[in-house]
Amino acid sequence: MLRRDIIPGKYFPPGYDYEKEQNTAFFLFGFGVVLSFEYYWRLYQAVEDLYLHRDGKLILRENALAEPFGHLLSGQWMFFMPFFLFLLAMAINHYLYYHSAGGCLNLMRRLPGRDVLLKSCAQVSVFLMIAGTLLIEFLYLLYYIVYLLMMPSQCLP
Amino acid sequence: MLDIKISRKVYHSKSGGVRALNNVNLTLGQGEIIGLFGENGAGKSTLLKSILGFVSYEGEILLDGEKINRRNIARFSFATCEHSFFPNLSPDAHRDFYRMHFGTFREKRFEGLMNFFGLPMRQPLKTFSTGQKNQFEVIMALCQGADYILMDEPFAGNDVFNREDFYKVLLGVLEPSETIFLSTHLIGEVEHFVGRAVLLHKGEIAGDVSVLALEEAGKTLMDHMKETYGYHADRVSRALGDM
Repeated sequence: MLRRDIIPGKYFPPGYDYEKEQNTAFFLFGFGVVLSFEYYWRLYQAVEDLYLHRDGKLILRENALAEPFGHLLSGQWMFFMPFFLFLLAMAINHYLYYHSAGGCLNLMRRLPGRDVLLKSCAQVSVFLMIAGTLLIEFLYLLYYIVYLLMMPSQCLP
Repeated sequence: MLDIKISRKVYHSKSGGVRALNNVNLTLGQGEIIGLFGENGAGKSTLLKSILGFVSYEGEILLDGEKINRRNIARFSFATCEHSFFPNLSPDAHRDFYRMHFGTFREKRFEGLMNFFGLPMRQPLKTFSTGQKNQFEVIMALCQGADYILMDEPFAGNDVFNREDFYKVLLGVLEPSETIFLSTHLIGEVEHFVGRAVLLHKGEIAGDVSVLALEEAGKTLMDHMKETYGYHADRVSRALGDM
């Protein structure tokens, strides 16, 4: 029966304080998501631009063309940059841990398993990069659905 | 059988190259207990690290005719005074780690040695004393299930009684197929423990003798080393006289 504290060693370096790192990664991703809500402000303004205010009523401009979805999203990926950079730093930090933690790199380098050292350094970062990218894509899909719902169909580019 | 043929190992630095090993040809048979001796900087650690592939070298090291790679690296274990364990993990967690990676892990020997040396099983290794850490390092090397157990100054920091215990335990637990290649400065202590002595001097093999043959010739290992290294016992008194 394997102990619980050794199992993360398959994904993180054994004995590594991974909880703090894991929480930071989740926080940075969440922070990116919250900042990405800025999209709604852009969307609101783009919808506003389609209408004229006359006598307290909203009238759709003639030949009004909605701003393309891609334009509204431009620069959004920057909000997730801290998350991706942190994941990169995480992988480097895992390798440095082996150097600092009492010469255990010697043990890792003579393990018979294929690429155990590389996996324990980079596996979680790569997994979170893929998962993060998929979640961001999903988030943008939701934003696109909102875009389609908000924009008058005749104004869509 | 381990065949070591290192023609050259050079450490490069800005000020040039330092030759750490030169024409080192050795054969280590299974079941031997071999002492590796030499002054500081003689190349002992470099030789052990070359065997494990931690440093590059010119030459060839073959284990039963095969180059050392992922397939046969588990046939070597390594205990070093630099240590090679995870300080935040307990011995218990190390056992799981070794079990996970080394199919030949010797469970019963591990339990026995941990009990004999009275090491706590569930305490992180960073809380251990230096002596306890050394003991644990050697225990793991002995329990990995390797055929060739390489040791680099494993007892630096342990008291004399503790070292004595270790030599006795080693002789008691080793199986005929297990080979020990032990680098140490404690020549007098291991003299009766090793069967063969390899002497390194400035990166070259200065001697390779059977301890039994030395005994039959009425010599101690220390005498042989002094002869080999050209050590003059009166050099201190002469130097003091000149001061």
